[in-house]
Amino acid sequence: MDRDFHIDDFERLLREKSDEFRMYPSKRIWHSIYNNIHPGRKWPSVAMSITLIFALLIMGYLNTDTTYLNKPYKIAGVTQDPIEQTNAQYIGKNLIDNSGNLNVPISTIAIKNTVKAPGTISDSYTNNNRKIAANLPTMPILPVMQQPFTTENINRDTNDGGYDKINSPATNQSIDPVTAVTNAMAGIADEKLENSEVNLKAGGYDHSEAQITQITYEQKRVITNFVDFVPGNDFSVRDIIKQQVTINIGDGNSGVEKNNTLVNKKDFISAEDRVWIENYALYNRPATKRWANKLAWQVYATPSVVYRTLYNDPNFGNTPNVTPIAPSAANQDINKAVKHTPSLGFEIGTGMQYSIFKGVKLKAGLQLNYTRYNADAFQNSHPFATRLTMHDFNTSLSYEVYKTTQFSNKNGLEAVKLHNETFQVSLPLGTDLKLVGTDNLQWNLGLTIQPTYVAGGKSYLISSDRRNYVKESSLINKWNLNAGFETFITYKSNGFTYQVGPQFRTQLFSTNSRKYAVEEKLVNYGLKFGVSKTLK
Amino acid sequence: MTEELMLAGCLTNNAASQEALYSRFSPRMLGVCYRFAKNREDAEDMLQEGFIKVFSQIHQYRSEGALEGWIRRIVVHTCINVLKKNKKFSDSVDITFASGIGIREESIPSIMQAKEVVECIRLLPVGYRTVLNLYAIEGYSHKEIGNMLDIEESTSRSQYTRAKAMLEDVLVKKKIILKPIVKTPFFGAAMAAK
Repeated sequence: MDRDFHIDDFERLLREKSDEFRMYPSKRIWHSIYNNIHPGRKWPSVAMSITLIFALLIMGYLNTDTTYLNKPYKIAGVTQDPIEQTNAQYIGKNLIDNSGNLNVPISTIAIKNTVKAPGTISDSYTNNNRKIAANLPTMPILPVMQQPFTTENINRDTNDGGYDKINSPATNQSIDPVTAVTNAMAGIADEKLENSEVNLKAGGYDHSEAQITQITYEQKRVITNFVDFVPGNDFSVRDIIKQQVTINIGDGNSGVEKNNTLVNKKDFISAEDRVWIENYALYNRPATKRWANKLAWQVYATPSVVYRTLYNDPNFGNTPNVTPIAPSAANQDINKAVKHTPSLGFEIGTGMQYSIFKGVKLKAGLQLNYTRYNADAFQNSHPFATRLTMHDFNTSLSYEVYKTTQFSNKNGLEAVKLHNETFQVSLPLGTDLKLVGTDNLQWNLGLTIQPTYVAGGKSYLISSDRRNYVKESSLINKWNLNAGFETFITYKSNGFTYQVGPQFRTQLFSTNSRKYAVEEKLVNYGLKFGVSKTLK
Repeated sequence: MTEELMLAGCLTNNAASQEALYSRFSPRMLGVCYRFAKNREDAEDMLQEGFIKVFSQIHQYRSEGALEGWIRRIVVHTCINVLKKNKKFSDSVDITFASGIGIREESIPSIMQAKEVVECIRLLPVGYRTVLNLYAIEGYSHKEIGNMLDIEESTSRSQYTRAKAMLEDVLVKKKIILKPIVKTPFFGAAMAAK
């Protein structure tokens, strides 16, 4: 570019350079325009999408449903391999018609590297063969015909799974057919499947040697690509195989060379596409990500003090089914009947924050909580019977279940602390609101709602008469809901935002099943420390 | 495909002709949109809207001027309409004095040739950029610009003066143009306009 413009040429420079400037729109723009100006012609893309989805589903199904290969079944008293049965309908038939087209749908054909006489029942089909057939349904079975090679060139290696290796007469090197095709596929894995129909001419191929089974998608790709790259339109399957084997033999080294695969990736990109891609790359700077600077990743930890709130169930003692062991218990405040003390809990979590407005962030994450509080009790040397009051929600009546325990609330041999604890996994969803502050230093308010899965825990329940504790963890609710409230100071430094502040977390439903007469809700008073990093 | 064939095809709603016309003119028109737009996505949206108008109004083309010019006019008007829907734009074109606006030298991207100039234009505030695009590049008069943007003709003139001064400054810093022998101070232009 000539940079020696004088300022007087300013407007001319602008006009010239702006007129030279071109950008190449993405193809989606044309599709949108097309759909807009031809509203009735949207069907091709819809139909194509539906067809594609069905094709993918069918291919996925065919590639995964392999069980039938293992399942032998009997015909006229002879156990027959399903592959043999499938083959039977094609054995002796000409697979290729006079015009050179395949008589059998390509989706049903695979050619195995075993030599079979027409109509032979598979009594010679060894267990190894079955194993291979069952285990390699999605691997491309190399369409190796024995015709191009003499039987001397085919050595069955029974120590290697029972499938054949092929000796090249020219190099006398052994080639593992599966490896050969795998290598060939490595070269074409990224390429698009352009021709879905394969038009093979029979040539000198002896059809009676073909073993018919189901072809996989990858096999079809391999065959298709073979066809694409073998010069000329009229060629035999054998020619294709010859071509493949010849190329894979390479320069005489023992391995199969990747460089010798048939596929040259660059050939799949048309000149027009290449120009478009290059122009697109030139003029299409990466667009600013919409979420850039709005999304932040946070980790945090909150040591906390855990306690609980207990409520008397209003129905307690009002049903005829409850034996009044301690009638006064019904009227007694449960908080006075027990001696509980707070204990330490802990919370760690990680989450993403997304700034929807200035000063307002949505957040979601994953959080682990450990909660614990203590119950002062006495342990006795022998277990004794006690009862828990439960509710039957079907009848709205209470009933009692008998339990044994060693822990008394009133007296015993030894004073002990019982730990009611839970391990929780939560998905906190909420929002942070900026109250005051600058970009670097802020005071915020946070609210979350936390669907919670209680992964485990211990629960000591107070008995009907308030005299004993019963360890009954099976009544812990697996699912719960918590709410969190926090206020915190954030400080931004070196690209990280640090936060610290008090947090209050409360459980919205009882720790234990509603069947149990005493309702318990845990509360956490913590100090939350967090650090977050804005993603760019 | 010749322009006449394309036109004839487009008049009969022929998809191949429409695609040919789109392929021929869309790269340059996207460049036009890009100069007005905030980012590439917005530019592509403008282009899409513009070409939909082109195809729906193609029967109004009288072959009196170049087809490209006609398409360009539609695309430019589409860009302006899209920008006018944005409240920030309405505010910014009415700014008569923009003393707080500055462009840091390091924010100027290092790219080549035409793209380099266009990117420098895009560094300008949207109001300045729009007036500069319309006047210096698209060739509209200040009166026409005033009508298009719903601003006074004098506002368009002053906006252009400042936009030009600011762009000169950017291009000089970027060494795309040499320093003017007698260079008006950056905000001197605005003062002089008063």
